[in-house]
Amino acid sequence: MLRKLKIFAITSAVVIIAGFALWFWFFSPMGVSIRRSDDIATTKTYVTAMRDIGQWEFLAINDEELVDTVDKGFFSDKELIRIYYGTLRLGIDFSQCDETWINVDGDSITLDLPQVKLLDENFIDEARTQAFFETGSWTNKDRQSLTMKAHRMMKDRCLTKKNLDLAQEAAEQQVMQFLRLIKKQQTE
Amino acid sequence: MRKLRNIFILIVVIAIVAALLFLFRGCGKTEEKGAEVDTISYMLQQIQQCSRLYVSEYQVRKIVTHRDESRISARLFGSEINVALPASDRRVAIPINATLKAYIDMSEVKPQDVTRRADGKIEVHLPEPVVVTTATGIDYDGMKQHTSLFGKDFSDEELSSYETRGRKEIINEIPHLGIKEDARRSAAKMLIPIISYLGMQQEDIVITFTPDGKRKGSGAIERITH
Repeated sequence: MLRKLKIFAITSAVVIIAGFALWFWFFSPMGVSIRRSDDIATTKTYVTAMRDIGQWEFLAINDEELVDTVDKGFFSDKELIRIYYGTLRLGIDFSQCDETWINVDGDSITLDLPQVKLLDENFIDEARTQAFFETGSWTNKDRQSLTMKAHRMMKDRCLTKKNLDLAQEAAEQQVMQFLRLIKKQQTE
Repeated sequence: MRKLRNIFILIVVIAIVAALLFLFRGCGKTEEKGAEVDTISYMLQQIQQCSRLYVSEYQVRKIVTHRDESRISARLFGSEINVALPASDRRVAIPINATLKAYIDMSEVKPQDVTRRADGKIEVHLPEPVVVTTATGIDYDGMKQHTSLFGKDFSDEELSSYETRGRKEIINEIPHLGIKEDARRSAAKMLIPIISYLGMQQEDIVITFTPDGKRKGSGAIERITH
């Protein structure tokens, strides 16, 4: 009888202790976590350069590119995938026009516009880039190379003959339309 | 034999208690979903016809800094403990360069916006200049990172997050950079010679700017003549 009681007491004690330990672990009077702050600080925005320009944009192509790089290692490969955003602007840069691009003869206007082109080679919104997937560690140089790859991909995708033709057509139409408005008032 | 049976019962009881605890834990919590990503938007190309006359370009720079250290936080019987892990701090400074351009939306210029005044001068009413961020770039050569012995390297996701927030701050500060005022002057400086090619004296051309939301030929706020 005593032996039975002893076993019952031990069993009960073990069950209670195990139950308490499990409850303690999962329902936390004590929860442990490792945290890092997410705060940033910034300096004031400084203007480093400014200039007058004369660029008339007729076609804007917003592009997103999923760009990846893989580094094959001895034991395992590492991979970095990022999503880049950019806007390629096609139009006319008036700094390339001389005074003869407009010819007026009476009421008629003739335009000799230059070919539309990519107005700015600097078109990637790199600070908007999204990190998509990363294994292993990567250097700034790797990220820089990936940005250059995105730059090439966007140009290949967007600077098509079709888009350039579309921009050229819009350029001739819209510049002429604006000048005709002025000419009409001048002659009235 | 009896002893063996007792031990078996003990193990079964512990297993049942553990299973019940797991079950209740699952019921008490809502299902956590990972961040949903719209994959349809990837590789999207959007072509937009427009008529924007860019007149000023600004290069701006901002440095984003972040500093953190691993902290262990724990609750022990109602009291909070928050301790920094030694040699776990990390620091990063990210210089962001941005190109801002001011443009006049020429698609908003209608026939009624070009008028001949009583004194014979031609007046062109233009909409207010708009400033946009046309490009941003990370100055990787100027970027500085420091990670202590037990600190984890900054992930691409963390760096991108700081950069995106820096970009947002640049955009928020645009109104305080005085670009619009310069843009009005630049627009006049650019358009007056072009219009004069039509056979007018530059003195006979007046450019005016209409405030946003008042694009009906009234309320011109600024007149610029050559």
